[in-house]
Amino acid sequence: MTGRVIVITSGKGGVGKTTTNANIGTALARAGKKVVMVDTDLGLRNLDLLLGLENRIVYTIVDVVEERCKLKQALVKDKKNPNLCLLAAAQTRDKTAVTEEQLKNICDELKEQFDFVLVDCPAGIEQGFQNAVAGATEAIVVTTPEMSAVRDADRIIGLLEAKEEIKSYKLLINRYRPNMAASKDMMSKDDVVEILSAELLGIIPEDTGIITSTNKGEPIVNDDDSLAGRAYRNVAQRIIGEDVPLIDFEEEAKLSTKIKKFFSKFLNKGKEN
Amino acid sequence: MDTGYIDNGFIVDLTHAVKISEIIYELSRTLDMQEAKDKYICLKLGTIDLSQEELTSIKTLIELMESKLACISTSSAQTLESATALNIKVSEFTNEISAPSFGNDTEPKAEVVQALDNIFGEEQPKDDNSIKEIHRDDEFEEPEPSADEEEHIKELRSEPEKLPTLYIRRTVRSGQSISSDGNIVIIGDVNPGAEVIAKGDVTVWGILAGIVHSGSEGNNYTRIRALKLNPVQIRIGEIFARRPDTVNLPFIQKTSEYTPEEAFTHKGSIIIKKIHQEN
Repeated sequence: MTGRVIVITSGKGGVGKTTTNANIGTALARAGKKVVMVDTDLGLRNLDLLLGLENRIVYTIVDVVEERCKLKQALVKDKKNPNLCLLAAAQTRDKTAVTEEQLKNICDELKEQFDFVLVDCPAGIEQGFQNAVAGATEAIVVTTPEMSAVRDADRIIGLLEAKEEIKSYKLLINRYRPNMAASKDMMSKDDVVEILSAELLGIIPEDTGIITSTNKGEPIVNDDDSLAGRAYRNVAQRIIGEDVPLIDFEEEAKLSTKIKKFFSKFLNKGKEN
Repeated sequence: MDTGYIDNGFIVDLTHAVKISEIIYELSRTLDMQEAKDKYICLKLGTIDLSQEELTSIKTLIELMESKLACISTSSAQTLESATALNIKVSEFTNEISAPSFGNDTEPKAEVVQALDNIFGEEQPKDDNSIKEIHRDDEFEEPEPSADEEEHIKELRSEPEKLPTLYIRRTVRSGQSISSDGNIVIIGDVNPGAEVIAKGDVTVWGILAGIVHSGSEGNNYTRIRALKLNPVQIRIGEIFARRPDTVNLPFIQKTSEYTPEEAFTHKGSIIIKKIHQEN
């Protein structure tokens, strides 16, 4: 088996790289793929928290590199999905503990056993970024519809284009607010795509459920009712190669207003009687 | 689940089990201990109906774990029939069972996992990377060390008393690591993401919420004490345990009232117990 190694990166911090990683990974595993997530954010690891796996970590990527354990021993299995594994970052070390070469070797070894190797990249464009990208052949660039995030995404795309190993990159717009985009208070998806001239992989709407799911250590894709969860599942389907249309958030919003109106009629009737 | 002791063996109480997968799961957990090796296993089964195949798979599992199924008790007619057909002794338990002899040590784990996979496909529940949960048991009565305890165990018990102690007066934060060839005393909290590793005992005058390892060179008789023990993971000597997922909160809960707590190992598990005032 030769799996795909995809790095999830953004340049700017706080746009949702790790959340995206946890959710796409979980969604791919739910779709029956064997997935391993590699956290390369040494010293500031979070992916384990989002997955609720912190208490199961014994060995980290640094232990693998420094040969205190075998790669297989360091893989932490997900609580729910046996197709999903995590290779955690070390919390007490920094980016210099692992080299590009070592990360590439780890990715090469992992892609023999997994369909997907998702590499969670730290913020910034320094050594941590260079490490994370080293083993990847594809990239997902996460951005939010804000000037600063888009600017940083542009910088990252430039760096990715300069890397021979990266064969393709796609754009994921996170924390999208359709209402604000409609009223021109926020950049629309078309604006972002136009500025970055990159292929769009998906749009994830802003969802307060993400905060709850992060605190619970339970990715939101597991919530079948959540719109953000649905958007992430669609993204996973597109990665697998299926043609899933983008969710039309304006239409979704209209729909819910329609439903509200429908019910309010009944409620008002009840009041009149 | 209760495991009792008989001479040369274990009584494994699975009367509550209603599914074969529960039995296999509990057994594979229980028998994966040094103490269970080369011992006779007496299974207490309840009302569960087991076919001959199912009973055979249980027997196979026990044998793979280098133990031996001595006898079972059951209240199910079908299980009784299956056991009789398979020539498995059905009886009340006695104290007179002699230990079997086994060949050289092999690596049973891979085989057992394989056997379980064969029996249940991928469905069977696996212990997550074999890290057990921490047990909290305030009523736990620690057995007094017996007088004829082996000399090296006595030594391990008293080892921390002979070691130097590192004394730290601050909060240990995420990403920080404190380690020592002796004991460690911390006046302050140990936050999640921090780690404390000591060859001897660890004592924290505060909330311990990070990863803590006492007896890091293999002493299972070291102890960890804190005003509030809520670690992500506890490691004592060679024994690891994780915080149960039910309390897997990303927050430290600060309270004004503390009852000091102590963690120690008992039969391959880690137990946390409140330290009550004595005398």
